[in-house]
Amino acid sequence: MIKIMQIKDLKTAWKQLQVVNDLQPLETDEILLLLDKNESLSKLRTQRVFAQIIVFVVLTILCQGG
Amino acid sequence: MKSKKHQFIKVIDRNKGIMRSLCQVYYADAEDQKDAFQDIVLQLWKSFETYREEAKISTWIYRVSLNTILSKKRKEKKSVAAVQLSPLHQNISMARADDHTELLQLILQSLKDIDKAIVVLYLEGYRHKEIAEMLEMTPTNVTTRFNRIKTRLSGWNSEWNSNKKLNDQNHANKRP
Repeated sequence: MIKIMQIKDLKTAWKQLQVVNDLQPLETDEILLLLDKNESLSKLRTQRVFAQIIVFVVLTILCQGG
Repeated sequence: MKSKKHQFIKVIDRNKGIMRSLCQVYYADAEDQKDAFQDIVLQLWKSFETYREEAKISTWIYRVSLNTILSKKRKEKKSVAAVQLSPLHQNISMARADDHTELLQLILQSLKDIDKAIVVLYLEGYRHKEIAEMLEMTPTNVTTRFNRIKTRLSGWNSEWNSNKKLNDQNHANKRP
């Protein structure tokens, strides 16, 4: 006899998939590297914005002199 | 900062099963899954500071992960979802623990991105109202979509059963 499947019947399957995926170890170093990279990228972005603001202010002051 | 990072890593380690499963649901290719996983990690890290322990940590993980993947998918504008799916032609690369796991993967692969999220959250035990909050939808919308998915499931059932029968017959014929 064919059993009619319902979505709720798949709850165990979803848990099982999670367990299988949880078994593989986490590459901690890779994640730390990713976080550091992201940090330095955002620092660089801030520095760039800051430098652009300074250039803009200097140019504005110089242009006012004329 | 270092201890905060280590605290974050611990959280990720405890919930990596959820995150990896979500990546598998949305991406078939291993490299894409890795990319999506990294995007999720970054988004979680960005919102880690603002995370308050009012909500369960897994709820926060689900919310951030699904919203990250959905927005990534929107950007990619790839129509990977709703592809023709027949168990006879699909090569399922994920864990084939049992028939239900296989069926779950087939069902999820054939759904639209937002519907996948609804099913996954339902399977995790969230109510329609909570799902709606997490995905920034109305509860009515979630209920409507969910009912449509349930209707489609009857179609999948018959396809699955007939293909399984055919596969079993093929296996039986191959035996010496």
